Amino acid sequence: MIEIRNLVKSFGPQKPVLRGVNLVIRTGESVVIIGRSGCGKSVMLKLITALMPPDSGQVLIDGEDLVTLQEQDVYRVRQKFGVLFQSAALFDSMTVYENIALGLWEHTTKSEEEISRIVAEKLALVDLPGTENLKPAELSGGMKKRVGLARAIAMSPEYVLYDEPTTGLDPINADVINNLIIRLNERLKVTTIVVTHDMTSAYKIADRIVMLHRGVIIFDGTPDQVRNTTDEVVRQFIEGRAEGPIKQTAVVAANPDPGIIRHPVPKRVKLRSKVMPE
Amino acid sequence: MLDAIAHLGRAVLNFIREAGGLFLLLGRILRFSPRVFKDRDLFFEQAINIGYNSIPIVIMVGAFTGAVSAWQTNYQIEGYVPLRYLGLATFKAVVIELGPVLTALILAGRVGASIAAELGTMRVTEQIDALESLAINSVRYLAVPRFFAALFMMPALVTLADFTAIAGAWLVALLLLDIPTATFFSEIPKFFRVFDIIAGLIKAFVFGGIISLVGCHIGFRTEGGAEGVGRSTIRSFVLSAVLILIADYLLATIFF
Ligand SMILES: Nc1ncnc2c1ncn2[C@@H]1O[C@H](COP(=O)(O)OP(=O)(O)OP(=O)(O)O)[C@@H](O)[C@H]1O
Ligand SMILES: [Mg+2]
Repeated sequence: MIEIRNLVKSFGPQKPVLRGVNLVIRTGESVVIIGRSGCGKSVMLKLITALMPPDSGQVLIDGEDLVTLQEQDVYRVRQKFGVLFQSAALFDSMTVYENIALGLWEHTTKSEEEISRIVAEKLALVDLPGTENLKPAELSGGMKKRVGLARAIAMSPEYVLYDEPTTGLDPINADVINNLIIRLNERLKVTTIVVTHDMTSAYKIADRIVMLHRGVIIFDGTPDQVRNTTDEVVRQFIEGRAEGPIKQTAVVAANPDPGIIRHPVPKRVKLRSKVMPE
Repeated sequence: MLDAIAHLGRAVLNFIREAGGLFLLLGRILRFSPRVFKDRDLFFEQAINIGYNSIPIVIMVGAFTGAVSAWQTNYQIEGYVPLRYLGLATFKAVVIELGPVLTALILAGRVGASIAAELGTMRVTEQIDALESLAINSVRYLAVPRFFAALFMMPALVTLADFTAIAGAWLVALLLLDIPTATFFSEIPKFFRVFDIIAGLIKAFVFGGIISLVGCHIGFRTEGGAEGVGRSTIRSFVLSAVLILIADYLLATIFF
């Protein structure tokens, strides 16, 4: 179970991103996070895996608070996770094979035959069989995404975080990936967090959809509740209208909220970045 | 005037902060040092990259350093010091000072800046985040092999530079200054001190540490896309060059 409590993160005083996020993701659940570009979805995924320290708040993974854990425990907890980055973030000095095998080499004692079998199996799952020897530079954007996904699930993690898994894929491949996410979630009981703008895929994957807006969760419900909501902000987002309560300025300046002056971001509590290289 | 003082103050503060960051990183690297043996593939990859691939440039630097120092020494001592001391003077200058410092400054560009650019690119393209998300410590995986490879390769490269420098000096003496080989080398054995060699190699060791440590530190801290990577490359070179010169001075006051 992942419990996020009062998570606050800003990049300098002028740029609050998360202003007190609360969210519980139960084991085996599949949660989709939606929200405007720049509202802090990717930042939230990085906070969940302790890739950056929050200003304040807690991230509990099966009851362990990532923010206060010792370094070696953070790495132990991270082994429960698989992360697909928005940019895929493949290691460009390595082949596709090495990208996917790296975690297995580092954390398991599996033989090379076994590892190559796992790599081939994961590549088949993302519909890229036989691409082991290519370098990331030789792949298209959508192919990189799928290799990134194969790498994320190589260690059979309990939790998989997907940052825009279907962006940049053609509709057929997007559906292959949607089905893969659903299958991992249903058959292997992988707890799933998906960030996406693609409402078709959101409705298809989600047990629950939450919307992040101006640094807080403003909506939390089932796909059906989303379809039938009367919340104007959510309606505008899912219908993709330019007119509505969400103003264009919301994109320009991270999360401008006049209230921010009256309710300043909670004071920075003592937090050490133990995990980030300095 | 006040502006200038404020500017200087900021520069000093920056330098202190940077130095603090360097020591923190050094501490983390040393903590992982036992892992070098387990990760020896990574170490050898970097040793080849840093050591073997630097051989051509180091030979170039060595040969010209020796040639120039023979020529200049000849100019400086001609007339009041007997020319049989030319070989000795060149030898000492090369082994104690020129070999280590010039090699280090060149490698601050060739090796240090490339480490900063490589790690900087990995930082801004989220590859370091990806590594960390696979529960792999980025200091252990990226910084440790580069640091130790540079630490151990640097004395070897400086030794190579010393040899080529003396060869270069000897050729200049023989071909251009008409000093016979026997004369050129005649005084070296009499004044040879093993300690000079050791001091030169200790310098090389320290400079190798500085180059890789600064490269890793600046690389890890890169932000701001391709432009940021460019800035990191320059900063890494400038900071290591400054630290090399400071360390050279400090070591000289300790040794001699
Ligand atoms: N390392 C960083 N330094 C400074 N600002 C950052 C950093 N990372 C993110 N931000 C800022 O935080 C805000 C949220 O970024 P984030 O990447 O989480 O958006 P997002 O919701 O994922 O958007 P998108 O849907 O476009 O991917 C943005 O305004 C961004 O500029
Ligand atoms: Mg994002």
